[in-house]
Amino acid sequence: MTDTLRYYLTGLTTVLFAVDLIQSFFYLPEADRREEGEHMRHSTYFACLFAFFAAMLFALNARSLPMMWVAVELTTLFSAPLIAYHRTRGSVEAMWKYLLICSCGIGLALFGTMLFMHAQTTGNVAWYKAGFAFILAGYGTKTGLAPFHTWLPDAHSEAPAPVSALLSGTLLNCSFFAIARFRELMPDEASAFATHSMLALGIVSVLTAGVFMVRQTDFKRLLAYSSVEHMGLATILFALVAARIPSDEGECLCDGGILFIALLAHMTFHSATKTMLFLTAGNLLLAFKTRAIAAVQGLRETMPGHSMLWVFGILMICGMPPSAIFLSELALVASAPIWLSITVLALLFVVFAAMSRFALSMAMGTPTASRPEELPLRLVVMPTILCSAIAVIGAIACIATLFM
Amino acid sequence: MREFSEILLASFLLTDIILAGTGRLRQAIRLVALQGWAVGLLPLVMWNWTESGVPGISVFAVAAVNALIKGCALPWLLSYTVRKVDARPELEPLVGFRASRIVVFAFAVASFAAARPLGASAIPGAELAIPVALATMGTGLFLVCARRKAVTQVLGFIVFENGIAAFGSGIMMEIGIIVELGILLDVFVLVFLLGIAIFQISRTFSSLDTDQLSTLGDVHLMHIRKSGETGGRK
Amino acid sequence: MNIVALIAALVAAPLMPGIVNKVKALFAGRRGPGLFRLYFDIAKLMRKSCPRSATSTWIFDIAPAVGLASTVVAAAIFPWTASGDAGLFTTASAITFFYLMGLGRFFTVLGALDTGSAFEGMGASREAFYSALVEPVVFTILGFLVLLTNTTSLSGMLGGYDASAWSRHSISLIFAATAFFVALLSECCRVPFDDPETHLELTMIHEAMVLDNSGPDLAFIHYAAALKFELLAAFLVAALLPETALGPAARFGIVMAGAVAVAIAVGVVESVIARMRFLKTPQVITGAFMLAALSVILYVM
Repeated sequence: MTDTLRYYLTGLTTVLFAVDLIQSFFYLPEADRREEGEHMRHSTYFACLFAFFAAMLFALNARSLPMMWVAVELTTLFSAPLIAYHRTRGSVEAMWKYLLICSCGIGLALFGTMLFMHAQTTGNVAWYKAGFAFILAGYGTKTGLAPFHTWLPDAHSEAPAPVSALLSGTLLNCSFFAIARFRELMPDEASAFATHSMLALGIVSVLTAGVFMVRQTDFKRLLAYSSVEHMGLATILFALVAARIPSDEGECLCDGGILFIALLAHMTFHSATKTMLFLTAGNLLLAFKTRAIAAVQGLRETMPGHSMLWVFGILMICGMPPSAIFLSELALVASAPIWLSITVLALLFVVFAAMSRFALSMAMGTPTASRPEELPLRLVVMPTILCSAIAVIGAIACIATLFM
Repeated sequence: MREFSEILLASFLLTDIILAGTGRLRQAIRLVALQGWAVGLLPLVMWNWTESGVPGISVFAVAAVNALIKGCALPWLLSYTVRKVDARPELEPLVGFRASRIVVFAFAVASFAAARPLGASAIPGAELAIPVALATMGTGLFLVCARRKAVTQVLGFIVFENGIAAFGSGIMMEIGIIVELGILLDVFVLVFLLGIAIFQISRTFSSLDTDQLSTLGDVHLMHIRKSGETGGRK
Repeated sequence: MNIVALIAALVAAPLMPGIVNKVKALFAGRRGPGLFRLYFDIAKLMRKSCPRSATSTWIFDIAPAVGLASTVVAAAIFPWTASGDAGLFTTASAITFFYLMGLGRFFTVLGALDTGSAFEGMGASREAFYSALVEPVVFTILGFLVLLTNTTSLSGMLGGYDASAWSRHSISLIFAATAFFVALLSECCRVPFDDPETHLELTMIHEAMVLDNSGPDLAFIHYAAALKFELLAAFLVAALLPETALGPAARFGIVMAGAVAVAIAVGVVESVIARMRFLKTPQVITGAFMLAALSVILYVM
């Protein structure tokens, strides 16, 4: 199971990295031109970017568990300088938080890995449980699961757009994969413990994301919290996949295999849509020079192209039908126990309300006095390509499901 | 060697408690260096000399690299940073020094209680390793949270890593030497990076107080909204 | 044998402060007072008269005598010669031992308060403050010894375990011994808690309490303090000494030699560190308490 996930995520990471790389070439010169103050040299930026990519591939494909830890730690090391591309107060602060919180988190994961390996030699269930608890807290920090997510909104909102997209679209997947790998190695006696802790963490993540989205004023942070939400959902899905919890009635709409496909679809579509959204948000930031939702209004009139991309992306990420996220959420709700389904549905509703409200006000509201600057057309190329890919593949997936 | 390993592990507890109660950077760095040497010695002391004979060269290598990085390189790096950015000692930590000492002591007690269920298949010859590791990790995390100065937070992080290493050297053979070295290298680079970050903080903020690093975050955001401003802190 | 040992211990007691002072003098590069200084002092004081204030009551009169008597009784119940073998009385428990010394301290404090002098009152309050702080430390250590030896009797507790405990619980024993050493420094009013050589009333603790005493009363107080020091040092050594096949004389020799070693250690400590600010000392005692508690925890786990 994790092998499939591994190959899948490796491919996904590569494709999205290519997109972000191309966008970096378009985005950085524009950002440098419009932003005062010093910034990192481009050679350093691209060196770190490639090293970051390599570390992610290493993390996904490492053979031994501690080596995987080393790789995940390397992703922190290489992505941290990228966050402080512009040396503003906010970005330096975000980098500091990212480094410190993620390193401590990942340290817990190392301890968990050691406990786990010792458990494998002795076969003691208590050690397995202790190890998994530390691993969940540790890699959960890097995955952005609440309550360990505090670095995530800061880092995602302060980083330049392509880096935010990479962090959200690929990095979170890598550490999620680490959790999945350990989950699969848990023995049957400790399986219930693992399932319950993963479910709890997932629900708390979705809840936290919902709470902080409702009163959000910053559109990049809005996207960051959406990542927390979707990582929570993915955790819940994986917990169900690994445990194959049947629904209360005893009849289950989806068996583990289909749930697993739903998980893959969820991760793919979240990564792709979130990448596209962050790139679009970066363009908005360049045009308006602010991340405040209140200042970015009436896109329909001032920037019609971006307006469409933005609204479409937000609807997709919330799980509107052409998106495969709809299918995966449907599978989750259909196969989970009834209390879990209801909780998740209620939380999803909150998230949907918050996100669509902000997206629509940004697109439809009356434009503020400050007009956006003109953006070169090449900045929209990659988001548009991603957007059409999502629409086409999502539509095919939905139609295929209808006939199944 | 059992007594030695116990004494070494107990020295972690002592340095934790002393470290929690000190605000002087020099002294704190020296204590962390001391812990680093203890981390370096641990693999040799935990080795079962009577049954396994003289350990291979790799064990000595790990011990030496550990001691060099954690006992020399990192403390040197930190004191270099302290000199360069003219870091002031920690005067008003979020949690006072006496209170911190008591908290760390409570951590030690709690970690002994927490390690009990794991005792059944503890590492032979180092039953103390788990509680000590837990207590030291707790101390490190506590220092990261309870201190305002960036340098002291990094110190806390190193203590945290020392705690992990204290446990790691007991099961080093299960992890493998190469991985152990990889972990060490990672930690070294990380602290190096944190040092660079400290330089950047001191340049951008002209202070090392992490209290100033509080422009981000959502609670703060709501506060701004209430006071009538519209968001957007760009 | 017991009586011989007890008498030898009682006679040797005034040596202890002499040793401490000699070590300090050597550290400072002086010749210092002789080892037997306190004997001469006591002899001199015994020949003096004993003036008493008209305002003080009978409590002031009996306080030095009670202090001396309780310390001597504590010495009498201490198992000097053999582990498992009692002192002069067989039923003494460790708590009795420490509370006898507490009784002596209580009367010294009362006597100091009885004079109505501000300095003595201040000294008394500080003395009481320290003893209250140190008590948990001492009793935690006693608790550890009880766990180790399964008995509360003083003679069973001291050396009531075999030598293998040293390899099994080395850390606990070292921690407990260190904590007890700190408690000893505080109980006997040594640096860093109190400087017995200071001549400024404001900074004195023990000496401030006895400013009004003179003559035989002062001799009693000095002797009781020296004996208390010797007893606590002997307790420390005897607690660390496992059950051995040594004869009573050898054991007594070891205990006394150990007490001398403790006195030398105290001298070294006093030469190396300075007296601490009054407000800082509770931290040291808290540290000692943590050590003692850790020794118990390490033993239990």
